[in-house]
Amino acid sequence: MFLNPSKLGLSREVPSLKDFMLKQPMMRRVIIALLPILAFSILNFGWKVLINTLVSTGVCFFIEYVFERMKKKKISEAVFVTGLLVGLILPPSTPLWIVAVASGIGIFFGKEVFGGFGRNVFNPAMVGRAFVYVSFPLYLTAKWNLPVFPNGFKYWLSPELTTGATPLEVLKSGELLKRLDLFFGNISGSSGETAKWLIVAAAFYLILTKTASWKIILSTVGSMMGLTLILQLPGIVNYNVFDAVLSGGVLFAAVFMATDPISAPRKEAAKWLYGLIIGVSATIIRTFSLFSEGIMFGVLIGNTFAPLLDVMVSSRSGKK
Amino acid sequence: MNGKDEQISALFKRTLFFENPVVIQILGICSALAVTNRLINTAIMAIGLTLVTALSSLTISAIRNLIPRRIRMMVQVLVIASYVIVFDLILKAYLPAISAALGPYVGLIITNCIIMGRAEAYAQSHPPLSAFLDGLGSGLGYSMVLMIVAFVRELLGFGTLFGVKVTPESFVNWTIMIMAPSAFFVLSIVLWIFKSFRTGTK
Amino acid sequence: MRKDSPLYTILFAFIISALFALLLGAVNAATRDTILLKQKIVEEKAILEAAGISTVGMSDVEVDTLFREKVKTVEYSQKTIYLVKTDKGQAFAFKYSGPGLWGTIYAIIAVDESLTRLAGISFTKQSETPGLGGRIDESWFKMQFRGETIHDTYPFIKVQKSSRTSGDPDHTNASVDAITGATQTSNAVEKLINEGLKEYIPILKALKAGEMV
Repeated sequence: MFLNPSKLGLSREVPSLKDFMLKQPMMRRVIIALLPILAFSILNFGWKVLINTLVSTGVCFFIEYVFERMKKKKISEAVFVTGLLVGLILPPSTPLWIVAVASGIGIFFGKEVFGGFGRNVFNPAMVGRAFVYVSFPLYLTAKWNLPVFPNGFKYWLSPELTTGATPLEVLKSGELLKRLDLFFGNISGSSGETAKWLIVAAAFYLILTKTASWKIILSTVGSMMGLTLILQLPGIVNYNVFDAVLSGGVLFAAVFMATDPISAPRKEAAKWLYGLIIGVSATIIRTFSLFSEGIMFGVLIGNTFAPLLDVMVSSRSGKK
Repeated sequence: MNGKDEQISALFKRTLFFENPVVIQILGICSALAVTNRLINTAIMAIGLTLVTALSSLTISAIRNLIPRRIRMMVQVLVIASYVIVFDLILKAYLPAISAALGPYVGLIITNCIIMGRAEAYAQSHPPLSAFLDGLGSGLGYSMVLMIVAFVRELLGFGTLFGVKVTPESFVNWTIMIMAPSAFFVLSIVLWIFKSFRTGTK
Repeated sequence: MRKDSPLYTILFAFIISALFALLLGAVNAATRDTILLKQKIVEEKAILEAAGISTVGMSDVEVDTLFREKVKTVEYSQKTIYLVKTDKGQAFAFKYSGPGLWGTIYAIIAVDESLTRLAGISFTKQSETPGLGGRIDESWFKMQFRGETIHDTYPFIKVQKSSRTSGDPDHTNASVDAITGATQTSNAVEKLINEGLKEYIPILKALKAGEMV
């Protein structure tokens, strides 16, 4: 069973695409929604972003292929979503080997060990990011690149930001950010998270095509704003509630990661609670802990509770 | 003599492999997670646990016919705790740095299920020499798994093996490997490999 | 006597407990002195190191002898101050502790004779993340404090982010480099030193004035 090459089906006849690919229109729509963001990101930070996503997608695909061949099953299209997401939630300057580690760990520990598509408890891309975030803080929190939109195509990688402070750290230290810059992506950050207007557009597309749950997005973002508002009263935080959700990867994670249909709860009522858990834990972590990127852990914590929420909601409605 | 040798090799095969306390019986996981970020600490911990398991099995087996059933468990804990305290004191006196690094985990050997398990499951009903070997084997089984985990964690987490730098200068340390959560990752992979070998040979 | 009778049980429990208590007592008695010596040596090493005296490669006995020769312990206004003879004159060392990221950091802070520069710092106990915050115990980090100027007003010493990896070479700017990726621990050390200096410098000034007389 353990990595026996003869069973991996790596030899002889190459199967046609249809034979080993599971068709998933839902996942395809997520990919479509991610592509403009990828394009913007390339124009903002340079071609390195494209290479990052190619590496992450390649690694994810390869590991999933190996595992699914072992079980003689089809590859899910979801693996491309995971691959794209991993590439987009890492900073543009992330060394390629870290991108590969993030993808590998994410897809292996986040998905395959649970039995592949449809069985994973956690969002694989977030698992990968959390792993490298804790492992290599130097590369993931200290180096940021200048936004150069739309001149990114001239660069391999846009010049490095000299001041050490990232928008999130600036936010923590209480400086006011230019909101328009935030919204239009004229900021540094992880590759895919900067263009808020594209993320909002993608959110509408995904909601209208019934791909993503608006309840999850709304309750995640809403609870973050709500808790930020509450924390403002005793003066614990002093930034604007809109900045709270416009900065960092909050919006990106809320739209693309929290709504992942596999790791989110399935019951409608549970989705509200799920978003609430993500939003509240993200705000608490970003405000009080040493990690400035709380939404990542927020989503993972939310994932942990998703099955429980489903059970809770269905047992309650069953009693009625 | 020949028959006895075979028995011993079968015993070690059992304790190290088919009934390995950590990867098959999933015992002693707490310390396996806590002390495996450096090989040297792990080695000391493993030696301590092996000695304590072997000696307490030996002692309990030697007095097994004298122990009243009702206070059996209490006597076992008394024996185990005494050996652990002796080991702890010796560490503190002669290897203070490692003792400090291991912190409370030496004392926690007392609560390690492996020792109690061997005492209850084996030493109570077997003669002293077999009990001693069984304890020794179980301790070695534990040690083997811990050393594998520690090898991976120290190599990736510090780029060193037994404190000696073995990776190139450009190597980036995997911070998470130093922290306890990584032991879950590494241990689970080790467990997987062991189990698939075991099912393969059976 | 039956093995299950209450009397036998009690007797057995009594005898076996007594035996093992005896064993433990013997081992404890045999190791106590060594353990106490080791603990004392750890502290002595830290005090000497903070004052800039190297103890690398010395045996315990040698460290102890050196300590006795170089260090005088005085009690002054209810604080313990260690007066250390160094090649640059005298250094004042004191113990100070403060909260770190995971647990209390115990440090020895040493100030030089003029009370305007640090002599150095060392840590006797810390439980910061190994490989990150735990790097405060690495020599490049501690060396930065050696001879560092103490600023006139609070904060006396700053621990600041920097892209250098070998520490701040400038010993006149009252600032040292933080550990990259360990902001919280770096802040904790900064706070620890500043609080320590705030509390002890007035005492040391008084002590010095008293010595002059």
